[in-house]
Amino acid sequence: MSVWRFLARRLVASLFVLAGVSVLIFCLARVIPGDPARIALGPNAEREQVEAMRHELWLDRPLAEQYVRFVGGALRGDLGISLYNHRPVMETIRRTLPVTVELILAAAVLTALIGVPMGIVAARWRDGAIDNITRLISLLGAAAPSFVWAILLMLGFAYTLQIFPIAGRLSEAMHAPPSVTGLLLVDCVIAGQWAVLGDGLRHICLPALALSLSGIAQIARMTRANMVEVYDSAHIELARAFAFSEASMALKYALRPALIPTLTLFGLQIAALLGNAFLVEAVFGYPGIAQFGVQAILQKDLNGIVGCVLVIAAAFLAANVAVDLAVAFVDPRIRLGARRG
Amino acid sequence: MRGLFHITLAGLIAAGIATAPARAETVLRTEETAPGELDPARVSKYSDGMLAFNVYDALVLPGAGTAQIEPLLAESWTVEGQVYTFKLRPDAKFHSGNRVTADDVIFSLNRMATMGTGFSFLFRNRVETAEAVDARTVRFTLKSPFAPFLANMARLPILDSKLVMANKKDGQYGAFGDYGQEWLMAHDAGSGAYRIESHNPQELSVMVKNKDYVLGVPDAAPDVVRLRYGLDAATIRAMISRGELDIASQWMAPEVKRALSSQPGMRLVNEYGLGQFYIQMNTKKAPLDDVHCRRALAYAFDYNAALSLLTINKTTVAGKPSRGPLPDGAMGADPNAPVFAQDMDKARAEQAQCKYKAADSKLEISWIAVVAIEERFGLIMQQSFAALGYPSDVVRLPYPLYTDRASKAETTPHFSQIYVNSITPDPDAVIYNMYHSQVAGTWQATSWLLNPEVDALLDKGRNTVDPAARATIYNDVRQKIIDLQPTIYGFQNVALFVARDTVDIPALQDPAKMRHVNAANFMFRQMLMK
Repeated sequence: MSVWRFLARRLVASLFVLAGVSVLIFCLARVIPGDPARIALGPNAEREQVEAMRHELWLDRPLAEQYVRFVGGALRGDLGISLYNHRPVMETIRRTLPVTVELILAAAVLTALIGVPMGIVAARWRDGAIDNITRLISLLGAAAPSFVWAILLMLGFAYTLQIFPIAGRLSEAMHAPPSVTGLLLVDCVIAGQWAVLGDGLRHICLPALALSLSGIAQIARMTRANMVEVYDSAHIELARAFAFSEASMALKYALRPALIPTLTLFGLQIAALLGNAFLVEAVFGYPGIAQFGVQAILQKDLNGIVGCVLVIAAAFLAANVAVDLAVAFVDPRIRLGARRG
Repeated sequence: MRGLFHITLAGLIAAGIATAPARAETVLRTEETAPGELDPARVSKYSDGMLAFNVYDALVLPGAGTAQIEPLLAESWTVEGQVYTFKLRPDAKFHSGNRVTADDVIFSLNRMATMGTGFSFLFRNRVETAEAVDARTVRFTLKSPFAPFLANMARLPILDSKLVMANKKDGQYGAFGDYGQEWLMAHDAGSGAYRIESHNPQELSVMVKNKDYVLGVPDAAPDVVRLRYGLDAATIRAMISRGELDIASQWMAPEVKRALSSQPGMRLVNEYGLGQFYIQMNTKKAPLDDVHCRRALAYAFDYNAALSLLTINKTTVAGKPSRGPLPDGAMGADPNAPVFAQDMDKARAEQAQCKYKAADSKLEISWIAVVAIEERFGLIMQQSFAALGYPSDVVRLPYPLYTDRASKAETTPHFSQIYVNSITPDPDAVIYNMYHSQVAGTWQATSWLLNPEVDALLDKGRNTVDPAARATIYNDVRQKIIDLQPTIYGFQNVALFVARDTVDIPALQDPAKMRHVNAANFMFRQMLMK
């Protein structure tokens, strides 16, 4: 079986999972107590208006019929109108998802760039001062949830020291470049607007750091533990006997096998970042999908709930497939095993 | 020679004016809950009202410091029975430059009534005919007498019909397409003191001063207003402390308001006379179907304990004692009526006349899930009622479940906590929706009063045009309702806003300038930047 077939199989499986999620969330959203038409129209709406809206939303039809209609719309890219903000759900997702994706990518980059080197350094000088400091940082990172870090970072670096802005994605005086990718920082690079890029980076620093701290802690601990284990193995002893350099041993012979569980954990971290982003976005007034998602649930916005959950599920599945591919790339046993199969 | 001197002097002055540095643009920054609905037909929340009162104008405006109506786009009006004739200002223009005409008024009313959203219930099924007598005169003939019609007109923002129709898309309203709904979600078609520069309902609205505004905008009013949505409490706190916000919304916790208002450069401003906190008693459920039990429980409630939860500091409380169904200042309210206060002797005396034994009746006290302070009010009720021997459960209900349960008398809890704010300056908007049999089972009318005498008085209040006669009717209905005691009148709501000293807000600082309608005190043209 080639890597491509492996990928195709994972994608098909993901589609089945997505279909399952859609059925589940479609039904669950309709089980939440309260009449969505009544909530959408407001407390003073007349009975016939509520009935007319129920009809318009197909809420007076059997659940199966509603689902088939929903799937038909979803396949055409139409997730219906949000009962909360009265705009097409797809339009809101299209506008807010890239903001969240950008934040998550920034957090993921920080997680990888800080977490993995921390683990390597701690393993290389295990039980020394550096290892102890790294363990302490990891412990702190894992001990508090992201939103607590978000508030602490905001109070420390934005409010007290005034190094970073408190909230938002850009300063008042800055204007975002025309949207090409939806990712502000990338769009700034494309448009060559370096001042806006700098401002955007200043705004994303604290939310991305708050979001990544728990991941950094876990990745560092996982990398350290695996590296320590690998350092004790026979092939490292052999490498030492051949007088390979410390750097070569660490990066070529110890890190690579130690990275496989780390990568799997990284995939799970991406999913956790999606969840935590809801709270971090709220603290930093970051205009991502979080606020819409939370309000959709509170206001029983059926289309909004289903749309948000499906998008998050799809992002989660995509992250997992990407991690599977990365693991296959790093671990020749999986890659070659796939070919032999 | 003297002539030459004068010419030279005039030239120097003119040059001085020409080269004087331009006044820096003033920006007012404030925040509210998301989303901010810009389409006037979808206005319902405070944030929507803030947009509507600034971007759009109505024919009339709730009076400042009174229950009277002030002219706005209409310079005058006459009421003859069921016929209301408004004369428009000759110089009023929309932001597009189009003149405001009678056709625009009719279009705006029809649009609101047809769409059936927001405040459309104020206008639906009321108007028999609407005609443009001429470009500046519009005449409405009502189907039946309806005195609140004039006050309700304050909630009908007038749209630039030509601009809206030029931007309509295909839709469900025949020749009107989508009635411009999609376009109006992000653009304005108003004539107000501010026009929309950009609008994202989840994040931010930017409004800029309309220099051609018909009533003029003072120079000291903010040039730009940035209204942010959905900020977290911790973020608001940090932003206002650092000067990145000028006014914080009323929705922050009392302890945060207390902390912020004690900081230098910040103060509390308030808005009252708009609404009250009511505890509705389900009069169709034992033991609350006996008026003596209801009175006993109303006397037993610890009003001071409830107010103590709203205390910000020694001088400021986010509430004041209530005098009955109508807030102070409303037509029919009596400023000298006694306030409701705990009196256990009277409570026991009323309980003695009740046909039910307290210990036999378990009471269900509900609170709405997202309004945390209601749980504490619920616990105060539990403790107060226990003093009479009533066992009770305090039950948390998500709002959708609450509205479901409120739709039937048998499922409505014994006690429901509601905040009711004035959406128009007419008492009808408050008490009709709380007590008339027509509305029983809605979120406000959970007392299920169903009293023909009250219904008749409320109908009479609607049908009587003469203001003096109406005031007497609403005074009568107020007393009748107090006598029936379907409600515990918790307190009059005082909305408190933390504001920086960078802005003067006369409407929230001087009772004589306060308008007793939701969001009407946030007309930015009446705020002055320092």
